[in-house]
Amino acid sequence: MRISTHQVLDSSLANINDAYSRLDTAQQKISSGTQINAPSDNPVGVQQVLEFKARLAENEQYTKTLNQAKGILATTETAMSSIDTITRQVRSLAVQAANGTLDQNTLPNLANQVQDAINQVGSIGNSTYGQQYIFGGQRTGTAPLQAAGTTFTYTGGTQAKGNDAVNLDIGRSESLTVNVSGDKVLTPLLATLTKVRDDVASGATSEISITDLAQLDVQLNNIVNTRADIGSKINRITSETQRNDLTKINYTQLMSTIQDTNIPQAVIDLQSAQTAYQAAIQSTAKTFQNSLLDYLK
Amino acid sequence: MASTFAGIEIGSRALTASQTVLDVIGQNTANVSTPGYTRQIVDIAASEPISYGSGSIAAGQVGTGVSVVAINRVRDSFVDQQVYSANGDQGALNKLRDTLTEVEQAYGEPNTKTGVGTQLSTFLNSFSDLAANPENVGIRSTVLNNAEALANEFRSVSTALNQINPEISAKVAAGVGVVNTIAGQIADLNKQIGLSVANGEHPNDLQDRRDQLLASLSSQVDINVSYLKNPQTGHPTGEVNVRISGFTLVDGDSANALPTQATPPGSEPGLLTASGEQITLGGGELYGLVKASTLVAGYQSDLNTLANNVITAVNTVHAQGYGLDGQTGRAFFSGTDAASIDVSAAVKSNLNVIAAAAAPSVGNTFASGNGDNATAIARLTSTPVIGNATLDDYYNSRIGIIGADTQSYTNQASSQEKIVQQLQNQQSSVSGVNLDEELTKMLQYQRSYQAAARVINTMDSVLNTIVNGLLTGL
Repeated sequence: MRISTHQVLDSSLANINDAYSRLDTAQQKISSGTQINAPSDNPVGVQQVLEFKARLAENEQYTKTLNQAKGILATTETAMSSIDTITRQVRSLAVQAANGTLDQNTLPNLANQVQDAINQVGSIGNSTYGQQYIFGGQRTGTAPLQAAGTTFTYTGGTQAKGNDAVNLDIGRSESLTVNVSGDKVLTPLLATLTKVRDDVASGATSEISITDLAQLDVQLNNIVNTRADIGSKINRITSETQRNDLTKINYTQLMSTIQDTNIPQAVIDLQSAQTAYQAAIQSTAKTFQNSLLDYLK
Repeated sequence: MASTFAGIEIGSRALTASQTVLDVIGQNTANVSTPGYTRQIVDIAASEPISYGSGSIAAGQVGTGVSVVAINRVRDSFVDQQVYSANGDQGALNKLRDTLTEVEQAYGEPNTKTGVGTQLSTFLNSFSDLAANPENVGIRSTVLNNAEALANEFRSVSTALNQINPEISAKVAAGVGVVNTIAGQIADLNKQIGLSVANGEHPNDLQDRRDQLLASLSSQVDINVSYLKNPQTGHPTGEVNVRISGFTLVDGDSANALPTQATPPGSEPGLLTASGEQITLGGGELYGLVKASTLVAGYQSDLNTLANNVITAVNTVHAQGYGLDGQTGRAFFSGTDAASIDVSAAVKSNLNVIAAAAAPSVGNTFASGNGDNATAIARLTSTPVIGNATLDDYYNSRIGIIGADTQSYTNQASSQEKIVQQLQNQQSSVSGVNLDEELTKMLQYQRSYQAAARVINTMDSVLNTIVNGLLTGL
């Protein structure tokens, strides 16, 4: 085949350009650290990367919600634990009061102690997590227990009104009730405590021993069950958080596999591109060293 | 019977022929690097012989030396046509690749931290936060900020995409301008070449210029070049006609102007004349640009579909919920597409309008700590909204499509580059100057010249014998 002088130059130039652009691509992958710098670099990969990004953001959001749920439940558990202790104290007061041999002067004293317990429950019932009242159901903005004379009225959300439960999504289509509503625990407890106080004050020993003690046991049982429920929810949150963390690591690794430059591979590519480039410029330089002109006198 | 001085005449013709060849070699060598230059060769032949003797004693013919028949370009017009067509494809693919790269840049995926996809998940996720803290003003304002960031991002991508098609129209107009200028120049050259050919000349350099113009024209539009013949004699007139599908761009000595109006996106790529007739394009930068505008319009409509669905989906859920002020039935976003999306004025002016609470049960007032409607909005992250796709699935797949289109045109453009290179090589192999070859020929004709001079010299000494020797002998 006939080769023109220009043709040799042209193809040398094209080859040098090719080699140089390969060098540039390899260099870019290493310096940017990513092998997908535009959707066209890997149209399938880019969709996966975007998908993982969205999943990671969602995952992070669930972790945030889980932490908040855990905070609310842990605060509730602390409050319930105090209420448990207080209720048990009232029960022993009631047992004392039910003992008919008591000095009549002791009864008002006992009644006062029950009143203290009521006040404590009232104050604990208005505990907050951040700015939210934890026992108010969905009425988290106002104190659920309002003092009314010697007792308290519950004004929070109730099951009857359908606004007692605070539900949060802790995962895709995984909703969790993260609160204990006051109308389930506080309202019956306060009613019982008030009755115990009144019966103690009036010295109705038989009423105390027959009805009130039984009622107190019902309340204690309710408290224990509620605490068990909180405990199991906290466990679920803990394991959910762990699973979330694992998922995060998984997604991050998968995303990195697709998006991040495989450095050893990229370095090898860079070296081979360098070799090709050097070969192209060297051969070009050699090709044009010789001409018939050198031999004509 | 040859004349006395025939020998000298033969030598002189040889000198002239060698001289001409050396001149052409000089021309070739001088233009070794000139773009578009076609090497020339001198067609030389032994000149008309004369008969020696006559009748029964005829001894045959005696030569009269050498003469120059023609100086020709060495060119393969079949390869030329292939180059034109390959140039056209290259031009189209380059423009498609460049435009789509611009589209990719408008989105900035996947390395941007503020892409539409990211903003969309941030926005929807912030409703989860709101669900957990429905009364918290700080979180309400975060939701508003994220919503504004999302709307901004939609609008800025939309603006970037919207700028592309007007740019394309301007480029088409500029490209048509170039085509019309070149067409005028080709028509002028046709005229000069035609005259020259009619005079029996070989206007090599004019033809080179015209070939070069045809090559640049071919990267702009897909051209069909036909070489005209004299209808009477059947000889080539040296002129060419240039057609673009049904439109005659160059018709001998005259050129017709191509219109600048491109066909609207979605129709077959072409140009529209003032009277509304369509000139279909099949290649070249103009085709690439018009085709790209159709693709861009498609991407714009996809982005608008997404924005519209975001607005509708969020608004539908939002309208069912209750704001902290106890009101319901309000929209969260205003606008209908990516260019007009914005957070509604009501939400912007009052954070309490954001409806985090679900509708209360019958007969009850809503509870401010209810975040169920916020949860419902947050669940849009995983709810199919557009067909079977969630909002971000749809977005991701659109990015994938843009990526695949861009990749395809980029790959095609670079393999087309190799094809063009290959064809240009082929052309250069036929028409390009090889210095070694020219130098070799130069040595050859230098020797021929010297030999011719020697012949004249010898003839001179022979004549000397006759003219001077014979006279002295008398």
